[in-house]
Amino acid sequence: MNKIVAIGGTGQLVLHYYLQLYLLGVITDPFEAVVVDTDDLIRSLSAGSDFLADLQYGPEHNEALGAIVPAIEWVEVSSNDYNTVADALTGGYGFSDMTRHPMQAFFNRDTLVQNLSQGLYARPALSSVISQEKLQSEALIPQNDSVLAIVSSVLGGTGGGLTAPIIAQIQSHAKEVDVTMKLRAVIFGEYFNPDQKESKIERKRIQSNQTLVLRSLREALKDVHSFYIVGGPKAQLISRDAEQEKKGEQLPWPKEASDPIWHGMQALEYLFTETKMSGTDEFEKREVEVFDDPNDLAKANTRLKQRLLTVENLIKKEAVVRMAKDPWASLIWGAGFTRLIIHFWSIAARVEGGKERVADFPTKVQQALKTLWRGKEDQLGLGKLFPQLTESHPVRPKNLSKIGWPEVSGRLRFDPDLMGGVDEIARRAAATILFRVLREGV
Amino acid sequence: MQHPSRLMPIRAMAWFILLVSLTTQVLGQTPTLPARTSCKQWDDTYLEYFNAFFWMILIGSCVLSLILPPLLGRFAWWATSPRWRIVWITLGMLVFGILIVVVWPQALGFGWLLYSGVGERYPDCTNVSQFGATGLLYGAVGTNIAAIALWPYMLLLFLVAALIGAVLAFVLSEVLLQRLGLYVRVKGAE
Repeated sequence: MNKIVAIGGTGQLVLHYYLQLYLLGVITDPFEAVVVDTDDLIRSLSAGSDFLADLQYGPEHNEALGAIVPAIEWVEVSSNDYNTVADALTGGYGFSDMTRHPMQAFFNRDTLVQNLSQGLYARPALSSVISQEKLQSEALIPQNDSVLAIVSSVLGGTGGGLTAPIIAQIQSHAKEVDVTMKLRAVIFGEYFNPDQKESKIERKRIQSNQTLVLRSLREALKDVHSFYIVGGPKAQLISRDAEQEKKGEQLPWPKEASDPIWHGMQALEYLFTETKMSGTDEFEKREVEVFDDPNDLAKANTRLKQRLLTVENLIKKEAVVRMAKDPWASLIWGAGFTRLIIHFWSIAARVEGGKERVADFPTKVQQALKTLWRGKEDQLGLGKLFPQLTESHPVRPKNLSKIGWPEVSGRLRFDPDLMGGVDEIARRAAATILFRVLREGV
Repeated sequence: MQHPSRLMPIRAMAWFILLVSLTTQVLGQTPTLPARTSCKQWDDTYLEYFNAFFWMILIGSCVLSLILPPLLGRFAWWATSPRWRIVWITLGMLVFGILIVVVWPQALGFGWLLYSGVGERYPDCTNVSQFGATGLLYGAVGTNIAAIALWPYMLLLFLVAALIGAVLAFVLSEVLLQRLGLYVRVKGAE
């Protein structure tokens, strides 16, 4: 399975959209993603990751009912044990003007007193000294004969400082466990105009990082099979809303396919699917300069509209509850959908010791659908991962019968530990329904 | 020879008087009521429609509530709700029956299309006494009264038919659910 290593805020943002395209069935192949960031996982990815975990059915963590699904891991490289940079570098002694410590030779006072909980303020030097030991994570080990793609920017503190060490770490891991892989990279050069007041990052710092890191990347990308650079010194810059991105709640989709994040995501998909490019020692020849977008933005938008409205109808019309009260359920909703409900209902009956004890299972599934999609107070719903829809699209009940529901006849291998009680089973059933509607809805 | 213009006012006056007297006679004439046999024939024809629609509402509400959903439910969300669709289909049947049997004759009259077998003057039969009107529902309601005059009872009876049809549909739907529903297919503890 292909692996994405998403580094820093830009890496997370690309993954945020890539995950949406996967869930909508635009991207067909499952993937593993590892987020490496000094910041927290953005809430949308956190919600997406929880949803994918709810899909687990078989013993493997990414084994859903009738499908292998992506998995998202987070390698937190920030030093949570310490408040400031100085704390992290001195092992908790902190900084005072009286302190005499080698760190003062590399970092000025302003940098040393900065709070680590708010990122690295686009200082690559910080990430490379603070985060090294955290990169030992096994999550970075690729699978044999797979493609591993790094997505990172050379602008910020995390991407700029960690891209090269992470590539080195991955290669080292791969050698240790004797794994062969194709390493590819999507590198973001200058593509956004920082809001200096909000992010406390000056543009000249970003430009300086870009120059430094792009030069060092030539060395770092030595073993990279191919790479693509998004943006760069002369690129048109977009604005970013860092706070909104951290929330990751209903971030709008780009209007143009030339949007750097969309373009980067297309580059990632291209690098995953491209098979013709042969390996070469010449660094310049490994750069992909132009490619045709594997996915069309307008088509993806149409699919987004269709699928989201189908889910909304499924929840608003309480389809599962209706189905359970209808003698003609199979004729209206299709045999596949009804069999899926019966399948999970039967598991619940077995777990709870009799079907009369789980007579309200469809109601529980319906409630779980709503909770998974709309979220709870402290939990972002999967629906918030996608942008808010402003257009309508007719959705008919027969659309649900046309979905390729997973086959549940025959002997299925489910992990009994995952089916602890009726509520948990209902949640997994709801997650499976949402996954299929999003991926295969019509 | 007399000049014609001298006789003109006299002739015009004579014609005017004649016209006024004839008009007064026509307007002042008491209209004759339809014959009893005609009333009986029209009433029976109209009652046939009423009876047919009564049974159609009762049976139709029940049968259509059971057989339409598998077809309509694929296209319309309202038809996927097992209880509400019985209400909507019944309501549809009821409104259809009322429109055809009650509203049409009152608003558009008799003597054409569906009611070509009922004379235009059938409403006058309400003033004809003892023409042997059968009454609604084979004499259960309003014997010896022209059916057209019993329209409030028609509404009530249609409503009763719709309610019976809906309750029957609901009961049969529950019976079918016990045999075909998802719950029956759930495998319990081994």
